[in-house]
Amino acid sequence: MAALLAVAATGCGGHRGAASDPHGLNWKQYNGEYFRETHKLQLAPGFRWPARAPIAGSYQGAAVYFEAGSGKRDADRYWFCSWARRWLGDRGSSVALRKLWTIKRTFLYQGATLPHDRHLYDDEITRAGLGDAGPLQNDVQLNCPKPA
Amino acid sequence: MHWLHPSRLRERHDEVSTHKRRRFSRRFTVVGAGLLTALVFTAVAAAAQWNYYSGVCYSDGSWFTSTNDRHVTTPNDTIKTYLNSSPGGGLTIRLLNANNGQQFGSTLQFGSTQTGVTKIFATGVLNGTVFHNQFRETNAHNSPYSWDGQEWY
Repeated sequence: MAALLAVAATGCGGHRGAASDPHGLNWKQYNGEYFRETHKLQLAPGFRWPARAPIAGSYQGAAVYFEAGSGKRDADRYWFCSWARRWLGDRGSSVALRKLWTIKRTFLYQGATLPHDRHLYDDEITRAGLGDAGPLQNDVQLNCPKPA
Repeated sequence: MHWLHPSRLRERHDEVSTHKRRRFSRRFTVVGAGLLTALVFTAVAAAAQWNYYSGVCYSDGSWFTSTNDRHVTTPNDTIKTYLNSSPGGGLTIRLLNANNGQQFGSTLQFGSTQTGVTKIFATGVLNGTVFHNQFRETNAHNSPYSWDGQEWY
Protein backbone atom coordinates (compact mmCIF):
# COMPACT_ATOMS: atom_id res chain seq x y z
CA MET A 1 0.00 0.00 0.00
CA ALA A 2 2.86 2.39 0.87
CA ALA A 3 4.47 1.69 -2.51
CA LEU A 4 1.20 2.41 -4.29
CA LEU A 5 0.84 5.71 -2.45
CA ALA A 6 4.41 6.67 -3.33
CA VAL A 7 3.82 5.91 -7.01
CA ALA A 8 0.67 8.00 -6.99
CA ALA A 9 2.45 10.93 -5.36
CA THR A 10 5.36 11.10 -7.80
CA GLY A 11 3.49 10.16 -10.94
CA CYS A 12 6.11 7.57 -11.72
CA GLY A 13 6.07 3.84 -11.43
CA GLY A 14 5.82 0.81 -13.63
CA HIS A 15 8.55 -1.21 -15.31
CA ARG A 16 11.95 -0.89 -16.94
CA GLY A 17 13.84 -4.00 -15.85
CA ALA A 18 12.59 -5.14 -12.50
CA ALA A 19 8.93 -5.12 -11.57
CA SER A 20 9.36 -2.13 -9.28
CA ASP A 21 11.26 0.10 -11.73
CA PRO A 22 9.69 3.49 -12.54
CA HIS A 23 8.71 4.57 -16.06
CA GLY A 24 11.62 6.87 -16.73
CA LEU A 25 13.06 8.21 -19.95
CA ASN A 26 16.67 7.42 -20.77
CA TRP A 27 18.92 10.31 -21.81
CA LYS A 28 18.19 9.84 -25.52
CA GLN A 29 14.44 9.82 -24.90
CA TYR A 30 14.77 12.88 -22.65
CA ASN A 31 16.55 14.72 -25.47
CA GLY A 32 13.94 13.51 -27.94
CA GLU A 33 11.20 14.97 -25.77
CA TYR A 34 13.20 18.21 -25.47
CA PHE A 35 13.57 18.64 -29.23
CA ARG A 36 9.96 17.71 -29.99
CA GLU A 37 8.98 20.52 -27.62
CA THR A 38 11.34 22.99 -29.33
CA HIS A 39 9.44 22.48 -32.58
CA LYS A 40 6.29 23.83 -30.93
CA LEU A 41 7.92 26.96 -29.52
CA GLN A 42 9.16 30.16 -31.12
CA LEU A 43 12.19 31.69 -29.43
CA ALA A 44 12.60 35.43 -29.12
CA PRO A 45 14.52 37.01 -32.01
CA GLY A 46 18.27 36.53 -31.69
CA PHE A 47 18.08 33.27 -29.71
CA ARG A 48 18.75 29.72 -30.90
CA TRP A 49 18.24 26.33 -29.32
CA PRO A 50 21.10 24.53 -27.55
CA ALA A 51 22.55 21.40 -29.10
CA ARG A 52 21.28 19.20 -26.27
CA ALA A 53 19.06 19.19 -23.20
CA PRO A 54 20.81 20.44 -20.04
CA ILE A 55 20.95 17.43 -17.69
CA ALA A 56 23.68 14.79 -18.15
CA GLY A 57 22.89 11.15 -18.94
CA SER A 58 25.11 9.61 -16.28
CA TYR A 59 26.59 10.54 -12.94
CA GLN A 60 29.31 8.76 -10.97
CA GLY A 61 29.12 5.76 -13.28
CA ALA A 62 25.36 5.23 -12.95
CA ALA A 63 22.83 5.93 -15.68
CA VAL A 64 20.45 8.84 -15.22
CA TYR A 65 16.76 8.43 -16.05
CA PHE A 66 14.17 11.16 -16.23
CA GLU A 67 10.55 11.44 -15.24
CA ALA A 68 8.40 11.94 -18.35
CA GLY A 69 8.00 15.65 -19.05
CA SER A 70 11.54 16.63 -18.02
CA GLY A 71 12.52 17.34 -21.62
CA LYS A 72 9.43 19.47 -22.21
CA ARG A 73 10.01 21.34 -18.97
CA ASP A 74 13.59 22.21 -19.89
CA ALA A 75 12.69 23.33 -23.42
CA ASP A 76 9.82 25.43 -22.07
CA ARG A 77 12.17 27.10 -19.60
CA TYR A 78 14.68 27.96 -22.33
CA TRP A 79 11.86 29.42 -24.42
CA PHE A 80 10.47 31.44 -21.50
CA CYS A 81 13.92 32.73 -20.68
CA SER A 82 14.47 33.92 -24.25
CA TRP A 83 11.34 36.10 -24.02
CA ALA A 84 12.15 37.24 -20.48
CA ARG A 85 15.58 38.37 -21.68
CA ARG A 86 13.95 40.02 -24.67
CA TRP A 87 11.55 41.93 -22.42
CA LEU A 88 14.32 42.96 -20.02
CA GLY A 89 16.34 44.27 -22.95
CA ASP A 90 13.40 46.14 -24.43
CA ARG A 91 10.94 47.00 -21.67
CA GLY A 92 8.46 48.59 -23.99
CA SER A 93 7.98 45.34 -25.83
CA SER A 94 4.32 44.39 -25.56
CA VAL A 95 5.05 41.46 -27.89
CA ALA A 96 7.51 40.01 -25.39
CA LEU A 97 5.08 40.55 -22.52
CA ARG A 98 2.29 38.78 -24.42
CA LYS A 99 4.66 35.89 -25.16
CA LEU A 100 5.58 35.62 -21.47
CA TRP A 101 1.92 35.21 -20.57
CA THR A 102 1.65 32.19 -22.87
CA ILE A 103 3.76 30.29 -20.33
CA LYS A 104 0.37 29.31 -18.89
CA ARG A 105 -0.10 26.94 -21.85
CA THR A 106 3.22 25.16 -21.33
CA PHE A 107 4.13 21.96 -19.53
CA LEU A 108 6.56 24.00 -17.44
CA TYR A 109 3.62 25.88 -15.92
CA GLN A 110 0.88 23.24 -15.99
CA GLY A 111 2.90 20.11 -15.26
CA ALA A 112 6.30 20.82 -13.73
CA THR A 113 5.32 23.71 -11.49
CA LEU A 114 3.39 22.68 -8.42
CA PRO A 115 -0.08 24.30 -8.26
CA HIS A 116 0.76 26.44 -5.24
CA ASP A 117 3.84 27.85 -7.01
CA ARG A 118 2.23 28.83 -10.33
CA HIS A 119 1.37 32.28 -9.00
CA LEU A 120 5.11 33.01 -8.92
CA TYR A 121 5.11 33.20 -12.73
CA ASP A 122 1.84 35.15 -12.73
CA ASP A 123 3.25 37.63 -10.24
CA GLU A 124 6.55 38.26 -11.99
CA ILE A 125 4.87 38.84 -15.34
CA THR A 126 2.18 41.03 -13.78
CA ARG A 127 4.82 43.13 -12.06
CA ALA A 128 6.81 43.36 -15.27
CA GLY A 129 3.68 44.68 -16.96
CA LEU A 130 3.38 47.30 -14.21
CA GLY A 131 6.99 48.37 -14.79
CA ASP A 132 8.69 46.43 -11.98
CA ALA A 133 11.34 44.26 -13.60
CA GLY A 134 12.78 42.97 -10.29
CA PRO A 135 11.16 39.54 -9.91
CA LEU A 136 11.56 38.65 -13.60
CA GLN A 137 15.18 39.81 -13.53
CA ASN A 138 15.78 37.67 -10.43
CA ASP A 139 14.22 34.63 -12.11
CA VAL A 140 16.41 35.09 -15.17
CA GLN A 141 19.57 35.48 -13.09
CA LEU A 142 18.89 32.43 -10.93
CA ASN A 143 17.12 29.98 -13.20
CA CYS A 144 17.70 30.72 -16.86
CA PRO A 145 20.16 28.73 -18.95
CA LYS A 146 22.88 30.71 -20.65
CA PRO A 147 21.84 31.50 -24.24
CA ALA A 148 23.29 29.03 -26.76
CA MET B 1 -37.11 78.43 -8.88
CA HIS B 2 -37.34 76.47 -12.02
CA TRP B 3 -40.11 73.90 -11.89
CA LEU B 4 -39.40 70.50 -13.36
CA HIS B 5 -41.97 68.00 -14.44
CA PRO B 6 -41.80 64.84 -12.21
CA SER B 7 -40.61 62.72 -15.12
CA ARG B 8 -37.74 65.18 -15.82
CA LEU B 9 -36.97 65.23 -12.10
CA ARG B 10 -36.62 61.46 -12.16
CA GLU B 11 -34.23 61.74 -15.10
CA ARG B 12 -32.14 64.32 -13.21
CA HIS B 13 -32.11 62.08 -10.16
CA ASP B 14 -31.04 59.15 -12.30
CA GLU B 15 -28.28 61.20 -13.86
CA VAL B 16 -26.96 62.16 -10.41
CA SER B 17 -27.21 58.59 -9.19
CA THR B 18 -25.45 57.31 -12.27
CA HIS B 19 -22.73 59.90 -11.79
CA LYS B 20 -22.35 58.85 -8.13
CA ARG B 21 -22.36 55.21 -9.11
CA ARG B 22 -19.62 55.90 -11.66
CA ARG B 23 -17.56 57.81 -9.10
CA PHE B 24 -18.08 55.04 -6.52
CA SER B 25 -17.24 52.46 -9.16
CA ARG B 26 -14.00 54.27 -10.03
CA ARG B 27 -13.08 54.55 -6.34
CA PHE B 28 -13.95 50.89 -5.76
CA THR B 29 -11.88 49.89 -8.77
CA VAL B 30 -8.85 51.79 -7.45
CA VAL B 31 -9.25 50.43 -3.91
CA GLY B 32 -9.95 46.94 -5.25
CA ALA B 33 -6.89 47.03 -7.48
CA GLY B 34 -4.80 48.14 -4.51
CA LEU B 35 -6.11 45.33 -2.35
CA LEU B 36 -5.65 42.81 -5.13
CA THR B 37 -2.08 43.99 -5.68
CA ALA B 38 -1.37 43.70 -1.94
CA LEU B 39 -2.84 40.20 -1.88
CA VAL B 40 -0.93 39.09 -4.95
CA PHE B 41 2.39 40.43 -3.71
CA THR B 42 1.82 39.12 -0.19
CA ALA B 43 1.42 35.68 -1.68
CA VAL B 44 4.95 35.93 -3.11
CA ALA B 45 6.48 36.15 0.33
CA ALA B 46 5.53 32.59 1.31
CA ALA B 47 7.60 31.13 4.12
CA ALA B 48 9.69 28.00 3.77
CA GLN B 49 7.91 24.85 4.89
CA TRP B 50 8.09 21.09 4.91
CA ASN B 51 6.94 19.60 1.60
CA TYR B 52 5.98 15.94 1.27
CA TYR B 53 7.76 14.04 -1.48
CA SER B 54 8.30 10.44 -2.46
CA GLY B 55 9.77 8.25 -5.14
CA VAL B 56 10.55 4.81 -6.48
CA CYS B 57 14.17 3.89 -7.21
CA TYR B 58 15.46 1.80 -10.07
CA SER B 59 16.44 -1.63 -8.83
CA ASP B 60 19.84 -1.44 -10.60
CA GLY B 61 20.96 1.75 -8.84
CA SER B 62 20.34 4.15 -11.75
CA TRP B 63 19.49 7.75 -10.96
CA PHE B 64 15.96 9.05 -11.31
CA THR B 65 15.34 12.76 -12.00
CA SER B 66 12.05 14.31 -10.93
CA THR B 67 10.12 16.58 -13.28
CA ASN B 68 8.80 18.79 -10.49
CA ASP B 69 10.26 22.26 -10.15
CA ARG B 70 10.83 23.20 -6.52
CA HIS B 71 10.72 26.95 -5.86
CA VAL B 72 12.59 28.53 -2.98
CA THR B 73 10.47 31.43 -1.70
CA THR B 74 12.46 32.53 1.34
CA PRO B 75 15.64 34.63 1.36
CA ASN B 76 18.78 32.86 2.59
CA ASP B 77 16.93 29.55 2.74
CA THR B 78 18.15 26.20 4.03
CA ILE B 79 17.13 23.13 2.04
CA LYS B 80 17.00 20.02 4.20
CA THR B 81 15.21 16.69 4.33
CA TYR B 82 14.32 13.64 6.35
CA LEU B 83 12.81 10.32 5.31
CA ASN B 84 9.72 8.60 6.64
CA SER B 85 10.63 5.40 4.80
CA SER B 86 13.76 4.38 2.96
CA PRO B 87 14.64 1.93 0.17
CA GLY B 88 16.15 -1.36 1.33
CA GLY B 89 19.56 -0.32 0.02
CA GLY B 90 19.41 3.22 1.40
CA LEU B 91 18.84 6.45 -0.54
CA THR B 92 21.26 8.86 -2.19
CA ILE B 93 19.68 12.17 -3.16
CA ARG B 94 20.95 15.44 -4.60
CA LEU B 95 19.66 18.75 -5.96
CA LEU B 96 20.01 20.02 -9.52
CA ASN B 97 19.87 23.67 -10.54
CA ALA B 98 17.09 24.45 -12.99
CA ASN B 99 19.35 26.77 -14.99
CA ASN B 100 21.99 24.24 -16.02
CA GLY B 101 21.17 20.82 -14.59
CA GLN B 102 24.27 20.94 -12.39
CA GLN B 103 24.28 19.89 -8.76
CA PHE B 104 24.31 22.43 -5.97
CA GLY B 105 24.76 21.75 -2.27
CA SER B 106 25.64 18.36 -0.81
CA THR B 107 24.74 14.86 -1.93
CA LEU B 108 22.92 13.23 0.98
CA GLN B 109 22.98 9.56 1.85
CA PHE B 110 20.47 7.85 4.12
CA GLY B 111 20.92 4.29 5.33
CA SER B 112 17.94 1.98 5.15
CA THR B 113 17.20 2.54 8.86
CA GLN B 114 17.95 6.28 8.89
CA THR B 115 14.39 7.51 8.98
CA GLY B 116 13.52 10.65 10.89
CA VAL B 117 17.09 11.98 10.64
CA THR B 118 17.26 15.50 9.18
CA LYS B 119 20.17 16.31 6.88
CA ILE B 120 21.01 19.55 5.11
CA PHE B 121 21.46 19.88 1.34
CA ALA B 122 22.36 23.55 1.23
CA THR B 123 22.28 26.78 3.19
CA GLY B 124 22.10 30.39 2.08
CA VAL B 125 20.02 29.51 -0.97
CA LEU B 126 18.77 32.61 -2.77
CA ASN B 127 15.10 33.47 -2.84
CA GLY B 128 13.64 32.47 -6.21
CA THR B 129 15.97 29.54 -6.86
CA VAL B 130 14.36 26.64 -8.73
CA PHE B 131 15.70 23.10 -8.38
CA HIS B 132 14.88 19.44 -9.05
CA ASN B 133 15.53 16.32 -7.00
CA GLN B 134 17.56 13.39 -8.34
CA PHE B 135 17.93 10.16 -6.39
CA ARG B 136 19.03 6.52 -6.49
CA GLU B 137 19.15 3.50 -4.27
CA THR B 138 22.65 3.57 -2.76
CA ASN B 139 23.12 -0.21 -2.71
CA ALA B 140 21.20 -1.57 -5.67
CA HIS B 141 18.96 -4.64 -5.78
CA ASN B 142 17.60 -4.28 -2.26
CA SER B 143 13.85 -4.07 -2.09
CA PRO B 144 11.72 -2.21 -1.25
CA TYR B 145 12.62 0.51 -3.75
CA SER B 146 10.10 3.12 -2.69
CA TRP B 147 10.67 5.89 -0.19
CA ASP B 148 8.99 9.00 1.12
CA GLY B 149 9.85 11.95 3.29
CA GLN B 150 9.70 15.69 3.79
CA GLU B 151 11.83 18.36 2.18
CA TRP B 152 12.20 21.83 3.66
CA TYR B 153 12.55 24.81 1.32
